[in-house]
Amino acid sequence: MKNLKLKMARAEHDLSQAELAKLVGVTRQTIGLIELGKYNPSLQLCIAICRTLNKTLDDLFWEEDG
Amino acid sequence: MKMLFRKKRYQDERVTAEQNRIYREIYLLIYVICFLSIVYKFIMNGEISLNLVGTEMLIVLVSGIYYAIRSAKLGLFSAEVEIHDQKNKWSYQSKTIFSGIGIGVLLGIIFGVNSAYQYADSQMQAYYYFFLVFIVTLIIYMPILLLLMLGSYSAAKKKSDKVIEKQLEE
Repeated sequence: MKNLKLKMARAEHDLSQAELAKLVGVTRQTIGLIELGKYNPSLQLCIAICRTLNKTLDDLFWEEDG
Repeated sequence: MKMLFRKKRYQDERVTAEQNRIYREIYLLIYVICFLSIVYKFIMNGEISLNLVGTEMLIVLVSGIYYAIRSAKLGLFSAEVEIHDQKNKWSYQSKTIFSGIGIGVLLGIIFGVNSAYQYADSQMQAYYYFFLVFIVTLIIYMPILLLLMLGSYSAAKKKSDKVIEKQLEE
């Protein structure tokens, strides 16, 4: 399932996938695959992304039912 | 609420990660055993010939080639190059070129010393043989090594870039 919340949070900070990747310390491909829901990041990587984007884990990696 | 990255069946990631670490250690262990075997055979026989160390060379070469092909086909090679270039002053491509030159120079020195040691009758002749063989080895091997290393780098990068772009397509 696509992670649109991450994509939106990245857009809020006006960051490209490559720029976010560099800030977090991973590759552009990894950020791209997370956004597409094709790769499950570790908790550590989720936290690093949240810290970089000033978001909580709930904000980016949980979704409400319905 | 449900998690975005929910799986139907969960794997124990800790166990998988630890197993992968063991496989990585086994890979290194096999390399060390091959290296020690080559050194042992050299000491026992006083020479290195392909007949003696063929199996060890095959293990090292095939596993290296296998890794290169798999990492290119999975799109990992592009990521490796990107991570390397982010962290290092010298790019992966520059290092590939310098590795080719380095191996060429090393081969030249080994062949040069071997010729001087085996065939020269005087010190002057030893220097002459060394430089002659060194230069000829450089002329012959350097372009081949550079072409081989740069060619395989470019092919792996091109393939890997293509794979990862396909994966990133929505």
